[in-house]
Amino acid sequence: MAPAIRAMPLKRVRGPWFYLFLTAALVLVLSACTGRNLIGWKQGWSATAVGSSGDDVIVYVGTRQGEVVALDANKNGRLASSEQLLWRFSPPEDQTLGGVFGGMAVGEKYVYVGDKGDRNADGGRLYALLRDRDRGHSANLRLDLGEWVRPIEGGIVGAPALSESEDLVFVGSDNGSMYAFATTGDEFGSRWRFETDGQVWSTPAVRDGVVYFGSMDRNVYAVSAETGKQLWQYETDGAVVAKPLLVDGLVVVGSFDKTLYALNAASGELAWSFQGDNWFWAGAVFDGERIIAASMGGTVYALDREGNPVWSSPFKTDSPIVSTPVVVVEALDRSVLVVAADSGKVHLVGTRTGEGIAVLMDLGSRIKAPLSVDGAAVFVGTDDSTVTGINVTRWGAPAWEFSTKN
Amino acid sequence: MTFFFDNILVNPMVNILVVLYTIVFDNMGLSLIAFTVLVRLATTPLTLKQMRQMRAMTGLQPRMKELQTRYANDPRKRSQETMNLYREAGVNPLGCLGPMVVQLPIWIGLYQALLKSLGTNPDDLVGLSQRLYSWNPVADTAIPLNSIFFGLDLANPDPTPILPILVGISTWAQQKMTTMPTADARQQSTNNMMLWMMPVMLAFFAFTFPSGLALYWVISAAIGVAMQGFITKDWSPVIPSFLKPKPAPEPPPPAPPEGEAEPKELESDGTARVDGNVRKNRRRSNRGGAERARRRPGRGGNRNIKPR
Repeated sequence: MAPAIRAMPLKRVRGPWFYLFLTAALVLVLSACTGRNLIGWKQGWSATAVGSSGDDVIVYVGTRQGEVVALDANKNGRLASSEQLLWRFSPPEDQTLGGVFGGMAVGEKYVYVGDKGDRNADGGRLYALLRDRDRGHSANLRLDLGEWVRPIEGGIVGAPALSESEDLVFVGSDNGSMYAFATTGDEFGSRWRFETDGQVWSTPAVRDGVVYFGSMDRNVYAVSAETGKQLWQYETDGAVVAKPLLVDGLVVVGSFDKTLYALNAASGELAWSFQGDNWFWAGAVFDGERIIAASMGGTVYALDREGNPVWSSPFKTDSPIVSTPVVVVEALDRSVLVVAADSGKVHLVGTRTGEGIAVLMDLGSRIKAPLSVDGAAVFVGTDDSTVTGINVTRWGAPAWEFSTKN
Repeated sequence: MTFFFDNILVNPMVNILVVLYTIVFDNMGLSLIAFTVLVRLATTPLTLKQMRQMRAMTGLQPRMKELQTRYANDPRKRSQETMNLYREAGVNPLGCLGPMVVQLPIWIGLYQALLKSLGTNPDDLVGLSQRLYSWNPVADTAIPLNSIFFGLDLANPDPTPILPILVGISTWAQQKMTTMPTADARQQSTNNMMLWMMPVMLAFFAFTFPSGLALYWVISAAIGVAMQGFITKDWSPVIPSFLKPKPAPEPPPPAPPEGEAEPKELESDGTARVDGNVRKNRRRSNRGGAERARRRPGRGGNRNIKPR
């Protein structure tokens, strides 16, 4: 007797539509694997900023878990106390913190945090948080103590920047605007808003009442810090997301057209330009004599004030450099550069000749957030939600590390 | 695998899209349309082959029906004879899959290419920089790409049902035009089911896919329908029945010359056929099966038919 249920031979159902069905199913599975539409997916680069007063060093971190934490570290970068975590701020449900990319601005009393927002959010927020909040975890802003939050259409990628008198905070937005807010937070709206034709991911640089920043519309802008009125603009051939470096009356900024531009800070005229091997995303830094810029090709260049290469050959890393490097002046009786590659390797480079001194650490996770420095201590945020403190005089092992996942 | 997938499929697509983007006035929608046309041009040989297969399959239908009837109770023999028939006629029953199989990696690759090139997140842009070829002349100046096309963000799903509906309609039309004729009742019912199921399914997907991918699918299907229609000169599958012209009444058949008169034979639908092909194929037509059996009850291939 035949069995009641017989498996249908596969051959019978293998028509063209069977394969088409498989195709569609495969596409669905592959798309699901990307996690594209996960609601509320947090992002960010574990960006850090350092604030110090006396011997106390505090590292602020915008975590990938949607929080801001303050960590205690001493000037050598070693664990300062058993209670490393000073405070933790996670905004209430209606004020989510979806991703901190470019870092934070640390003022005398407050730390300013720019939020990109969740992947599916329309915008982010700018937070002003007390530097010495109460210990422990809090989900509420201390409005009575001057903390505030402002919604920013489009979201924030670059770090905020403070005016010299700290009465204004400037921040660029994904909607193409540069905003100025009063740090007192007593005015709900922005003090002024300057619109460009592209997203503003560049961290602004402020000096002598002028705000300098780049835009995805390929321009570098200089606007009045007080009024927001444009002073000049300079057009490059590529998007500008790097933070401008202000040195000796020059605005030095890299562009996606692989070129590093030096512009006259007063007039915006081109002083010189230098051709690199790839996009410039990281901001240039200055060690007192040399302008040092790192490219997405993993190459570090050193130029003099006239734009001439200083090193016999540029320093090469194994992967793109997105993270803005830092110069450590006090260490090793000479100035050294700490540069982090996207691959997770943190290099120590002599700024005089460009020789690689050592690989300080291989953190094994991607590094894109700008590095922070205090004395000989360098702080690195990585994609695996870890913040690592490295002492450049005693490399090989982290001075400390803190996982924001815990 | 990822290395192969990225370097063979996704990265070339990203670079082609970026180049096209600058050619078509920094417009990603036009770039996608141009890309679709290029893909269609590149796969034209496959499409033509598919059409030839379809035409050949159509020509085989009478013989297929005959086999169906003759071996109604012997599926194995029927399958064997069917394959022999395919072989003799040089037809590959899976021939229509060529263009579809080619579309699969293109679709997946394009999906990834769109996500990688139109991402609005810093991580996406960092990743994009590693996918652009250094010798791509516009790689540095074209970035970031503007993903807005007629108010639609091509990197994200269409918030309205317009594009998903278009995906459904275009898929239905393409299927209707390219469905292989079959004498197998089971296959026919599968075809009928998929004719509706696939469009509905893809339209559903289009609600969650980047609208750029949906745009690609709509344009690609429209080109496929147009090619099929122009080459076969037969648009009837996609023309609604109320728009189809009514068939002109057939002229009365010319009287055959004396001495060559041949009795007209009725087709199953009752119409008389007089052309030469019918005469030529008479011995192989399905009349050799059920009809003959009707004429000679108790004899012929189908002994299950009981005389009333």
